[in-house]
Amino acid sequence: MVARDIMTADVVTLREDATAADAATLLLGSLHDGVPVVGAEGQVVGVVSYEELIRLALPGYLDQVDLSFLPASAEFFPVQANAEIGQTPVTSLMCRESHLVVGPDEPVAEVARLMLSRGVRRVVVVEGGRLVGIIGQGDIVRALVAPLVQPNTE
Amino acid sequence: MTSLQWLAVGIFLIAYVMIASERVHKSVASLTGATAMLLVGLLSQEEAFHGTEAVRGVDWNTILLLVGMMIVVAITKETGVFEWMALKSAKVAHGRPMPLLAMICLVTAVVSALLDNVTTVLLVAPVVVILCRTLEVNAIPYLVCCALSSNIGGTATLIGDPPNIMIGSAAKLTFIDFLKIDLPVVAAAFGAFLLAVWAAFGRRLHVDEAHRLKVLEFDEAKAIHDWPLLRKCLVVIGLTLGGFTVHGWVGLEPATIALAGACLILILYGKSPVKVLEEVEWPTIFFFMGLFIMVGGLVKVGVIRLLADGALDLTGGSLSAMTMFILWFSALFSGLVGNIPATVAIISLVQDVAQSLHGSVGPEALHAPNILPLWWALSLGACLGGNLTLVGAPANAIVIGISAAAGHKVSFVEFLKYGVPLTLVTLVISMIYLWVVFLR
Repeated sequence: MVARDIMTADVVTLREDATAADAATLLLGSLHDGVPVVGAEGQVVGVVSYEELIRLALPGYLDQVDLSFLPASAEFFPVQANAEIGQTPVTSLMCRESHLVVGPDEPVAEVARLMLSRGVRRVVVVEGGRLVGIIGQGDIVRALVAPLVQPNTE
Repeated sequence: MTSLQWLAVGIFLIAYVMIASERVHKSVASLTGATAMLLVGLLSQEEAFHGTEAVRGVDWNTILLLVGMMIVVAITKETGVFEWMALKSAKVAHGRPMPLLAMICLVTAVVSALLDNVTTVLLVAPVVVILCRTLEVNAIPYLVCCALSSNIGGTATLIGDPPNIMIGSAAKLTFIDFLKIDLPVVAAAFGAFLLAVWAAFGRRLHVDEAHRLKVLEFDEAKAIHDWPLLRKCLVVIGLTLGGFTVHGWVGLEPATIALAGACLILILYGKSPVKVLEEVEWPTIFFFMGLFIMVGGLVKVGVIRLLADGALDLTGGSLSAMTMFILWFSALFSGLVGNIPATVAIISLVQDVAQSLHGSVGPEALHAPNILPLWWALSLGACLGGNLTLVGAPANAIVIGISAAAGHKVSFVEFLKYGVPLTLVTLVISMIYLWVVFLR
């Protein structure tokens, strides 16, 4: 079994000029938790996921600070005003490193290994420089579990 | 100058320009400069690693004191006590803007005097951002003053600021010496700093009653998430500080005390030490090692000797002139390249002045009446001079980084608008103090 067999081929993408608000709208309306950002030539330049959107409101310098002192009445703590957050271009917040690129003929076992060892939740499938599919962790689990619960009768 | 001297100066200047401009990571620049000096044979590995009579090489007393205190702090910060202190300040100030600014400065200064400045601001500054955001007040004065207070507070003790650690080690000055000489002037300088801050911002900071009440709802007790560990940490910090106060009498170096504190807390901690040891700021430690070796190279080929003689000529043998020269030179040099690299170089300069005037660098020469004031001038100049610019001291860049991440960018020039006047206030007080205590 290879990447092509389990990937979602019909990928919804964002353009490089999209904003964080566009990414949030797209993600909330889809089943995926990450969306590739694609350049003019169809090449993948990064992936935006829920993590990057949460990170926008809770930047890294707060990672070491325990926030349990905030009272129940406190709003969720956005460091910039919400309107400003929405206008952040996706290219400045998308993850360029954690999106892993595989070829369509990569064995699924290798895709699974990459996800676990690099701590990423999705990989994009690229052929000839163009995006052809995306594989999420759910796709791997489905490939693993499906044969167990629905024995192949062929 | 000989060609060897030119070579040493060339390597040194390239490395220092790289460090100041941050074109190359400071640890890489420093280690590369040091290794270049070793490769071309300006000094031997033996001199660099172990030191000799003439060339001090890596100062392990400084290195291991830093490591020891970093271990103590790495465990202490897990308890949430730093966040607790910042929140408590807000409560004590009842969320009023100017008292809050003063309390944040005071807490940062006191904690920085006893523990690592960088860790202090790394944990206090994010809470300051949250407080300012809740109060809807401009966070920049709070954050910049937090950095400046950290450097002023650190000046007060032997362990407060890296320049003092290195000066204490090189000049054989004890923890008590620093409390006797630096603490009074730092208290006065800090008071003047707060007055200046009040004059500059006192009337410009306003907070809505509704926002003020929101801050009072913060529950600082919840910031402490490990009370048993906190108790252990406080005991260890208390014992370590107690050890520092008596280290001169019992004949133990400060690094020994710090390592004892680190071992005790690692034992009491009970969990795996691997993560804690990873949290030691190793890049900073390697930065120090490289600086010590590079300056060792300059000492070996006699460049520092030339500078020391030049400084003696310039000041015409007057102790007052020499003291003021060291104070201002170390402040400006610190503002230019950072107070750690500046101090490593100027320590050697003062040692060579002692060598010129007394023919030795033994304790009696280092503590002679015409050398002792120079150490204090260096301590005050370098520690307080760290506030001049963004690159002056490590805490500055940390706080400004947090400020930028929170959407409040502070440019190099904007930092100068705070740093220069407030540093001048503290340096003028230091001048008067040095004159009254040593030169009158």
